[in-house]
Amino acid sequence: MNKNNKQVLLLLLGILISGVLALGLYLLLEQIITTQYVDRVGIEGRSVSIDKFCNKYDDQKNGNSSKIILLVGSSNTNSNINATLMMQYLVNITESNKSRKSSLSNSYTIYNLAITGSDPIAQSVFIDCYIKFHPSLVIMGVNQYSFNGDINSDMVLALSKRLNANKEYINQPFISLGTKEVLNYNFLQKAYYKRKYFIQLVIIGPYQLLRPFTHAPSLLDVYTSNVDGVGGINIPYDYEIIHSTAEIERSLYEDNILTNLNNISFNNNSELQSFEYLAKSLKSHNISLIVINYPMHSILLKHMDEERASVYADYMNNDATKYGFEYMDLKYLYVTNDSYFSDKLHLTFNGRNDFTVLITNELINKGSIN
Amino acid sequence: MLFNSPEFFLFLLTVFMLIWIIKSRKYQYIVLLLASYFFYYYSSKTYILLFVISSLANFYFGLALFKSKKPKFKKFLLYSAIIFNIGMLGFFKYADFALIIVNDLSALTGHALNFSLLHIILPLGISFYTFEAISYVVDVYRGTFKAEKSLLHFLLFLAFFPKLIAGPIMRASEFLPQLKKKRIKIKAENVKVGITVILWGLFKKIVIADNVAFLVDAIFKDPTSFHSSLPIIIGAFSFGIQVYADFSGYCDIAIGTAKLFGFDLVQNFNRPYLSKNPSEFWRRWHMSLSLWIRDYIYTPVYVSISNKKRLNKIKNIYLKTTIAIYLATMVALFFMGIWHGAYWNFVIYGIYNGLLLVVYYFFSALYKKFKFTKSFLYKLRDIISIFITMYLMMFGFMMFRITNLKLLFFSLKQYTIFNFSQVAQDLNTIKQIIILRPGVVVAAVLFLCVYITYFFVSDLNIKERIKKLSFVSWMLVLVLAILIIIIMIPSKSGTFIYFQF
Repeated sequence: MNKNNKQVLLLLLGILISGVLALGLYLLLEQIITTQYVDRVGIEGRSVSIDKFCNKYDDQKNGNSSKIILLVGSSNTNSNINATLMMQYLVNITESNKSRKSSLSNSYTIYNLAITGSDPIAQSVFIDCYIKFHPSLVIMGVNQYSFNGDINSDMVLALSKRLNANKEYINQPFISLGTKEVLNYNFLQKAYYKRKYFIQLVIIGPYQLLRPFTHAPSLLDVYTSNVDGVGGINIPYDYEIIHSTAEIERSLYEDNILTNLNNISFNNNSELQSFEYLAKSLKSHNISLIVINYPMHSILLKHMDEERASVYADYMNNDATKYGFEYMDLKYLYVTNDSYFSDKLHLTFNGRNDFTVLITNELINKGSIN
Repeated sequence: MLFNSPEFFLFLLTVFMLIWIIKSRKYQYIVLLLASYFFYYYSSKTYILLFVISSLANFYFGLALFKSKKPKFKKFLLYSAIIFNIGMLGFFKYADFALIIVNDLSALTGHALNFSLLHIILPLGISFYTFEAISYVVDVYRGTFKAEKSLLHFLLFLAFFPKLIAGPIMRASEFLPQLKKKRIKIKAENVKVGITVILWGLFKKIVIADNVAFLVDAIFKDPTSFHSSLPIIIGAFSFGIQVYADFSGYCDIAIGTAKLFGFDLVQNFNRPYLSKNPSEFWRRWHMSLSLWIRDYIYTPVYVSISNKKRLNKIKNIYLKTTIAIYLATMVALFFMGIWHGAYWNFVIYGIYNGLLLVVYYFFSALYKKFKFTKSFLYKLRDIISIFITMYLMMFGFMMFRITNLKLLFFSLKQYTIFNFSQVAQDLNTIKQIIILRPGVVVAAVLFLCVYITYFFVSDLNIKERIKKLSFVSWMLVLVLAILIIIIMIPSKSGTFIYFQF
């Protein structure tokens, strides 16, 4: 073989090596970046917290005779219900009414497992965790916006190491998305698939990428540090940035919230399917479920398409009958009290305390807490 | 078989190895020809027959033209060859368009003919190989090129797979002499340059064009959904980036592939977005087509008009020449427009560019009168000229992109009559698109970086630089390029825009 041919061969080898090196480098970068993302705000990051909590709960539950109430949902559940206050309130009732009939016969431990920015799809991933607690009651917060389906479920699938095709409980809500093949991808296929999100992760950043998913990512850190405490999250200063009416109104247009709210289709809505799957799973384990449509700011209510809202309400009421849960529509609760809102959907510290007491009393009156 | 598909690279590797192993020139060319036909058959199936018939016919037209001594017969042969080529192109490309026009015109007169459309699928690359064939027979007729006597060489000239589907449009005088060499020798330096140029082409196509395409599609899917001019302007400039990166990327892959086998294809682009006027733009954009139009349409039309008796009545030679130039320009650019496709938007595209050139010629004398004492003022004038030229060319590109005339006229209006009402809402929509596909921004930034480099470094002399790179440095370039391509490859890497022509 002459010198030229040797050089040509070397060049061809060079291309091959370059290709392998580039692929290796990509896999490395992909691991670094997506792992970093996953630890910060990804669904996996959240599941780490919940998984940790679930595992810890396994060790602690022996000898604990109190009943469990779980609060699940998105940031609304974090901002609108104070689990610690709720527990304290129940203890106070028992203490102050010890001699009376109205005293509660059970003690309760309440955990707030809400995942900021999550949707029913994401929440349904943790159904095993909820069931593991054997709770007497699950309180789930939703609103019309929870079902708008703009969460990038495709990306959840791509990023999550937790999801795989063999877990039936995960499969069920996702199969309907037609993306089961993503779950079945091997390591290389999945890595290649993730390239779709690579630039987003690097350039735009997780916050922008999953904007509807992550409007308060700081909560996650707090959540992690609070998992040991009873009652989960209890952050008095969160959601204390009060938005003006004008700001709220503008955000409705800028964030396309109105479009999303008023264009939700209830046909083949994967968010609804996941929600129904959650309800069905809890029912099959004899766990009571109360679904609360949280209070909404008057501005949001003003712009809401009445007809669409009524379709949504009918849907939820039908589901309530079908899956045996109780649906409480409280969206108009604070329609005259804008000062209770920090923004269009989240309550302030005072609003949250008021709402927590109100809900607790309501549950006692209904006999859900006894 | 797309240049950006794995099948192509498998095919290329196979052909490359075969050519490398084979030592006989004749067999090398036979392998290249068969590979080219396979390449064409892979995408076009039975249209390969049409291509072979066209190739054979033009070969024998060339021979007959060369041998013929009688001018009248030569002319007859030339016209026959042109009618054959244009007829074939016209039938496959323009038949339905002609029927639509006839139907529409007859409807206007009240006697609707309603011919049913033929719905013919356009054979791939027909506009390119037909133009190459026409240039060959015309050159033989003019005596500027001797007819090729080897059928194998001629068939390979038309079929050579790197340039078969979308050019660059090669002249026989540029390609056939390259076949007279001893044999194809795979040289290390050619391989090095070829691979790098191919990667550069893939980079342009995948990283820039395919990513920017997402924004372009989102905007021009329904331009009426935007209220202000800004999205239309962004869309037009983005399409300008897309079409340039797409087509020049394709050409780079073609040039690089040919280089692997030691062949040189002509350059098709020379930094067109640095043009300071429309005339310069057409000297830098799709150069092989521009030159073809110049040599085989503009010049004959100009000569023909100049010799017209009516024009000879004009005594003022300057006026006479000006009229001939303007008319020839309009005719040439009209053909350039319609060459792209049988749609009204391409007709408008051609007429617009013709008018633009005519207006430019009219004012060019004035433009040159701007004399400055300070050199930086010249630089400033150049920058302003570049931006104005780009703005005008992007206006034309919208005619290229939007086939629906209603949407086209709406976009053209928004582009020219600045309207910034509800711009915040439009910007928000664009922001949403970008958040979804931030690759658009990365691609645009990369494109700008390349162009800023082009602006400041007049002669990059890339080929020489590649040759001088050490093996390790070359590999580092490759690793970086492949890495960026892997990261930026969109889920759907589309076909090349010029494949449809």
